[in-house]
Amino acid sequence: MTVPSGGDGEDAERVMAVLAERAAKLALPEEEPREAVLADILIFRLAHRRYALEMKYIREVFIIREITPVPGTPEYIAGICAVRGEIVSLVDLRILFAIPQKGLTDLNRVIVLTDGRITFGILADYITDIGTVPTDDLAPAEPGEDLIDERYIMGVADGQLTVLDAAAILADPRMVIDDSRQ
Amino acid sequence: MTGSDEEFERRLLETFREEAEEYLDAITEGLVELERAGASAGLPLIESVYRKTHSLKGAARAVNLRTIESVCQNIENIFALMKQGGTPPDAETYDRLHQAVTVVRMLLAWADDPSVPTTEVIAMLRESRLLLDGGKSVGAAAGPSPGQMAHPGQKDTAPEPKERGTVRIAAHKLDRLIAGADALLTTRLFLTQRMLELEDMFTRFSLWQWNYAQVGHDLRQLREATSETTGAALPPAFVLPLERTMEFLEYNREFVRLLQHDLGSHMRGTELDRSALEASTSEISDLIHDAVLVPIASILTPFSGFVREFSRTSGKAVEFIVEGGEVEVDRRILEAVADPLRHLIRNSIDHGIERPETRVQHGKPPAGTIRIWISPLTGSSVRIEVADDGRGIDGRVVRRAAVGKGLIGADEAGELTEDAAMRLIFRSGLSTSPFVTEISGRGLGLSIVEESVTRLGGTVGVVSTVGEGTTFTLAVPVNLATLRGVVVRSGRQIYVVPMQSVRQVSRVRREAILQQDRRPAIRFQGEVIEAIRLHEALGAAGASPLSDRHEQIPVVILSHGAGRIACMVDEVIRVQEIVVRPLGSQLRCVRLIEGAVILGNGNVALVLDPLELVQEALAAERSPLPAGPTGKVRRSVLVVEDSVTSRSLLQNLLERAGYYVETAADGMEGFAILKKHEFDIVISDVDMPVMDGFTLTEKIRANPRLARLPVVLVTSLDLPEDRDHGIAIGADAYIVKAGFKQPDLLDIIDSLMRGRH
Repeated sequence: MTVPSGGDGEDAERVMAVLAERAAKLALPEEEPREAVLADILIFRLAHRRYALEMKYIREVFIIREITPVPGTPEYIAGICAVRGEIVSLVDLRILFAIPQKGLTDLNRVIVLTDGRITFGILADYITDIGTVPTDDLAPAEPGEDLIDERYIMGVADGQLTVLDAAAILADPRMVIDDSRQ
Repeated sequence: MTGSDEEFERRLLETFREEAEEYLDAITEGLVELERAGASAGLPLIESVYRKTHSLKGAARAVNLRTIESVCQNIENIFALMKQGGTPPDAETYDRLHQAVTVVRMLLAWADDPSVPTTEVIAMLRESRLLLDGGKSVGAAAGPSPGQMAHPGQKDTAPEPKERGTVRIAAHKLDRLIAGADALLTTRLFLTQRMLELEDMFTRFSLWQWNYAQVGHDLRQLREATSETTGAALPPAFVLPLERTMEFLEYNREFVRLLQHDLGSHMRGTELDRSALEASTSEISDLIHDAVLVPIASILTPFSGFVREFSRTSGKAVEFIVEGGEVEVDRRILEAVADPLRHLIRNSIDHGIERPETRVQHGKPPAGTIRIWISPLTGSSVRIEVADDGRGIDGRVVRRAAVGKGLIGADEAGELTEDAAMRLIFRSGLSTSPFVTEISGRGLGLSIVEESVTRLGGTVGVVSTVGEGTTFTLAVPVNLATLRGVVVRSGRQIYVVPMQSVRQVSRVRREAILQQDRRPAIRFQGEVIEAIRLHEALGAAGASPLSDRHEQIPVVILSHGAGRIACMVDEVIRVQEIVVRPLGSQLRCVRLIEGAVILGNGNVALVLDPLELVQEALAAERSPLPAGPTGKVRRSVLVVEDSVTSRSLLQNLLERAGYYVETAADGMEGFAILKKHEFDIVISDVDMPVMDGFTLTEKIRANPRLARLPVVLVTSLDLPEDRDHGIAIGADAYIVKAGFKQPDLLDIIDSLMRGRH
C-alpha cells in the first residue's frame, strides 16, 4: 500500500495528532462492548488507490467494451452503454473528485450504483475483493489525507481502506443532468 | 398476506379510476348536450346521464369511496326530479352539476383531501333539488323511491355491455406490450447482424480451400514418397510418422469440409427462421400499434365541460362543436396533443370570441362557435382544425407587437407577407392580447403548442380573417408506430436522425458550399439554407478526417416548422427501424439529444433531437467553414488497446496532436487493419485477449511489408524481463503504464517518425 506522503514536518504533526487522540481515547472510561454493525462492501482500485462501496447500493458489476460519449454533458460523465437493453450512464469519479491522474490505467470495470431513484455506473480499474466493515467503527477521514472530499467518505477501515459513501454520491445534485432546467 | 391484499386493493382502485373517468366524461358531455338542447333532448338523454351517475355511484361504493358515492347520490337526486318532468333546470343548476362533476374528479385525484369542497357542493345540490322540486311532489322530496332505485339497480353497477368481441385492457399493460414488441424488433435487428457475421465466417472457408489447394501438389508428392517403398530417399524412421500425418491431414480436410457443409445448412435454416421471425414480428408490431388507436373524441369530450366553464368565467357565450371525433389516433399522440388543443381552445375563447353585446353589434349571433373538425389526411396523419368565428387576428397588430417586443425590426415588419406575419404568433414572448388574463395571453402558449406538435412530427398552421374568425390547423401522425432513423457517422461517432424530420439525404460538392454572412450554407430547392457540421454542432470530440479528403460531402436536410438546416456528416450509413430509449435516470435531459438506440452490433448510438438542432443552428454564432482540404498529409497511428477508456484517451491525445488515428480492441483486429491500410506507427497494449501485443509485434516483424513499421508497446507489465522480451522481439519503445506521461509518448512517437523518414 503506497500512501502519498507529504513533507516530513507534516508527517510529524500528524503523528502528534494521532498520539494526542489516542491519549484522549485512553482517558475515557471503557465503553460497553457493543455488537458491531457489519456492512458488506465491494473493494475496488481506482487511480492506484483502494476504495470500497457498500454492497447494498451496488446492482451489478461488469467489464465495459464500448462507451458512447454524450456530447454536451459534464466531463465526469464518461458516456453511456447498454446493459441488457437498458441504457446506463457512466461516471468517472477521478474527474468528479478531481483525483490527480497519473499513469494509464484500465478503467474498464463498471460498478452500477442505485438507490432506486437514480442509477448509474462508476468506472473502476479493478475489482479487488468483497468483504465486511464495521460501519459504526470507521475512522473519520482526515482532511487532506484522502484525495476525495470528506463529504463522500463514510470513513476509513483499518487505517488504509477508504469506504466511500454511496448514498452521498447518489444524492449529489451534480449527478443529475437536466438541461431542461436551465 | 397483507401485502397482496394491499396490492389487490390498489389495483381495484386503479381500475375504478379508469372506469370513473369514462363515466365522468359521459356525464359532462350529457350535461352540456342537455343544456344546449333544452327540453327537446328529452327523456332518453336524461335517463342516460342518470344511469351513468348511478353506475359511478355503485362503482364508488364497491371500492368504499363514500364521499364520491354521496356526491353522486345528490347528482342523481336532481336527475331523478328531471326525469319526472318538473321545472327544467336553470343555468345555475347546470353550473352546480358541472361543479359537482369537477369535485368528483378532484376526489379521484386527491382522495379525501380536506381542500376539496365536497360539503359545499353537496349543500348546493340539495338546495337546487328543493328549487326544482318547487314543492310539487312532497313524496319525491326525499329522493327517488325505492322502486325507482331498483330499476337501474345492480345490473348497472357492472360496466355497460360493450360491443361483442371487445375487451378492456389497462393502459399500462398496453404500454408493456408495445415495449415488448419494440424489444422484438431490436432482437430481429441483432439477428440480422448475426447472419451477416455468419456469412462473413462462411466466406473464410474459400480462403482455406485456396490455401489447401496451394499445398495440394506437395501433399501428392509426399503421399507418393510414403507409398513407394522403392527408390524413396526417406529415412525409414520418418515413413510411419509421415504416413500418420498424411492420414491426419486427409481427416482434417474432410473435417473442415463437413464443418463447412454443416455451417452452410445451419445458416440456411437460421435464415428461414429469421425471415419467419421477421414476418411475425412485423405483424405483431403493426397490430399492437393499431391496438393503441383510440377515437379522438376520448380527449375532446372532457373539453366541453371546460369550454363551458371558461366561457362563463370570461362572460362569453360559446357553443362547442366537435366533428369527426370518431377518427382514431394513437393514445400516446392524443395525450401529447391534449394540452396544445386545450390551449388553442382557451385562446379562442379569450382572444377570439367577442362578448355577446359586441357580437350583436357586428351582426353576429350572440353566442360564438368553436368548432373542432377532425379529418384523416393522406398517409398516416390526421388534420385537426380548431376554428372560431371571433374577431380574428389582425396582421398589423401582430407586426406591431413583434416590433415592440424586439422580435423583429420595424423595416423587417413591413416586408413580411401576411402568412409570415401570422406565423410570428408562434414566437415565444408574443401575445397580441392587450389584457393578460388568467386564461391565456401570457405569450408563451402558442410557441409551446408549436413545439409539442412538431415534436410529434406534425405541423401547425393558422389562417385568420379580421372580423370573421381564426382557424388553427394541426396535422399530426396517426401513430408513433415504428420510428425509422437515418444512421450517420460524424467525426468518430455514429448518430441517428429520426426520419420524420429528415427532408432529404444527398451529397454536395465542396465548391457548392456557400458562405452566407460568414456561415456555411447550401442551396436546396432554390433556397439558401444554413449548413452545420454535425459533430461540431454537438460539441463532440474527434476530428473528421474523411470530410477533409472527399470532394463530395454527405448532407442530411432537417426541417422543423419553417426552419431548415443542412447537416454535413462524414458518412450516411443506412436507414433503419429504431427503438428510441431514454438515456437513463441520470441523464434526464441532454441538449440536442433525444435518446439512444442499440444498433445491430450491440453498440449504442445517440438519437438527435432535430427540433433543438434546427433551433440552435439558426440561433448560434458559428465559425466559418475552412476553405477546403488542407493538403497536408497527416501521419496515421494505429492504437491497439483492449480497455475502452485507455483506447479513447490515447486516441484523443493523438488526434489533438494532429495525427490521424484508427483503433483496434486486440492484436488480431489490429493486424487485420494493418494488412488493409498504411500506417506510420503502431501503439499497442500487451495484455489483451485473442492476441496479445507481443504476438502482434512478432507478426508485424515477420511480415515483409510491415517489418520496418515502428511499434511502441504501452503496458502495465513493468518487470525488466517483460521489457527485455518486448525489445527482443522487435518493439521500438516500451512504456510502462504506471509511469505514463502524455508528453513522453508524443516525444517518443515524434522521434521514431523522424528516424523513419
